[in-house]
Amino acid sequence: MKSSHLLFSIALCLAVFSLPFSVLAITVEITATVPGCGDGVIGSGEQCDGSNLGGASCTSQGFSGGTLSCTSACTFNTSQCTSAPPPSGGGGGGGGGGGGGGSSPSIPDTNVVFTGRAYPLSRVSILKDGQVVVTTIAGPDSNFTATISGLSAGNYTFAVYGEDKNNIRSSLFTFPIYITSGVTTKIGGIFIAPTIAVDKSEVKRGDNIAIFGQSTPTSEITISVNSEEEFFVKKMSDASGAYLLNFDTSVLEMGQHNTKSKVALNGEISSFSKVIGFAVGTKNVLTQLPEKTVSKADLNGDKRVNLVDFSIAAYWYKRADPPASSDLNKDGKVDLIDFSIMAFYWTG
Amino acid sequence: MNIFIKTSSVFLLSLALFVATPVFAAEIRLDAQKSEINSGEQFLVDIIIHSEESLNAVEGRLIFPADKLLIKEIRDGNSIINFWVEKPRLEASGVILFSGITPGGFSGANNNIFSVVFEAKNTGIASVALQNTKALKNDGLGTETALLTRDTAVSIKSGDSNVRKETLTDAELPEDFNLTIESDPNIFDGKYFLVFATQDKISGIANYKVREGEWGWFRVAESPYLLKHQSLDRKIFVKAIDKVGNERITILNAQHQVPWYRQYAMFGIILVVVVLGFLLKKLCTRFSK
Repeated sequence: MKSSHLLFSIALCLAVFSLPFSVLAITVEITATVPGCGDGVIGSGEQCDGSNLGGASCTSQGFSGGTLSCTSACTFNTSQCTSAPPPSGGGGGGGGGGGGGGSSPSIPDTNVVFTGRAYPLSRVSILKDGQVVVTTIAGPDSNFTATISGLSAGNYTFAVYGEDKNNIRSSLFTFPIYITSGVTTKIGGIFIAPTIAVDKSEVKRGDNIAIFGQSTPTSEITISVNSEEEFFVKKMSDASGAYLLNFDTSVLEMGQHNTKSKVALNGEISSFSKVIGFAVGTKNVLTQLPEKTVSKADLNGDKRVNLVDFSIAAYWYKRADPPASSDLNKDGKVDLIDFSIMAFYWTG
Repeated sequence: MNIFIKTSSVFLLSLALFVATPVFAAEIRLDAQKSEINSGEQFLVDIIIHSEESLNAVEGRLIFPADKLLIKEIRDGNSIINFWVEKPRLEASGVILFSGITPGGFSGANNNIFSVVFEAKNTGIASVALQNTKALKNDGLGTETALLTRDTAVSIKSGDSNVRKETLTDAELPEDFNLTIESDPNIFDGKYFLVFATQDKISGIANYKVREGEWGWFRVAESPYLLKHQSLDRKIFVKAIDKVGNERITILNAQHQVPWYRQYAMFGIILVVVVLGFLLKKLCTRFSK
């Protein structure tokens, strides 16, 4: 840990002192953030290391084929993957030029580096303007790092979510940010909210309902059960980040209730998780894990809510007699309300 | 007594005003670069949204006097909106329609929805206003939020020859994007369609063009795009073009192998080999004689 700080400091000093002489210096920071990079072992915050790709391939990165490799910063290099945009038109516009002696500095890349906490060994997805651009695996300590390269200067909306060991997705952690050209922007302190699920859709009043999910290991989970009166219960997550609360429903009124959770560790607090509903009634009705149920905005049933679902809904926008699956609020038409519901359940 | 009545009146009036004033969680305003311009001059109007709570969908109409203002350009490259349901466009004379969503929502001040470059045509007061605006909360229900709108107006004076033009330089290509082929029983009678979307942060995307196969022309297309060749045995090329004319092409390989008998190039090669072989044989026999 100390050595990584030292390495970081040296890199930062080098970057600052060499700034007047070279515009390339800003990118030095990336290697400093990945201390174990180059040892052939995929460590915390690394997507890959040398030839060790951790079982990943072009197809697992969303491409149709090709050869996946690893960059010197231990992030995936998808440039040889197929179905990616061809290198033809792009390439950064004619910098190459034959023979000029190389005195003119090339334009540094525009990168964004994301660091934060999710769940141990969980899959973390990062969305750029609503589309998944990077997925990475968090370390056993739940920390993750991911880099997006080749951006233009401008306003972006980034969103991050995690998937726990039961493939339950967290809520989207969304933030708009202005990206400056030629600069590596570091976005740290992302604390993904816990996942949450319940074992019953209806619980007999007086029986227990299990409220569970995953978060950062050995951290304080605050679980809210919202009724006439809001109940807050604190639990510690175990070494795998899992938490479980058997909530006695005798204190709740008959009717519909909601529950949500958040996590705190070392003074950092996440936002609240998704809100899960359940009813207190006269019988127990077991429910499936959210992962096994299709979101109501998932129009094509692929367990994702993304551009394909948006396109299907867009086809029915202002058209008569839309199918029930596209009319999310069941008002007989596809309008902005249906798109808003879709945007809430979006996974990219 | 008089003082008491005055004080009471002021208190009651203040209370009435306080109670009557609706609480707006969000505001859409129009920011004009200038309040006074010359005819022939160009100026920018930004459509800005501010919200305390998380919103994920916005729509509305921008109304302007078509006899006084001419639209030169609509810029949506730097928008907070990620996916347009109705890309900002001139719906009718003096009316721009817009509607879109941001997955996961947004909040905070000064979020740009889009900008319009106007050119002043005739003198007078040109009021630019918002109508039928709606902003929906990111709550999974599409609940409408209380929205305050602030319009703008510019005074157009008779111009001189030294007019200012709004220019934009954009040397960057539209961003990388992926192509997805899907089929769904609810659209296009279950036939395969293509889905695509990208952004250009400077000038915005002007349009997309699609070509199916190695040969032929690109045609202007929108996502979702019904594929003409449902056998999926052709490469698909999609060109994203920004408003300055920069293009990025993304290629999707054929999903199925072309049957050997339809590989015309292969036929051509076989034919050439056969002809060459025949000629070679003839030459050899002639020389051997």
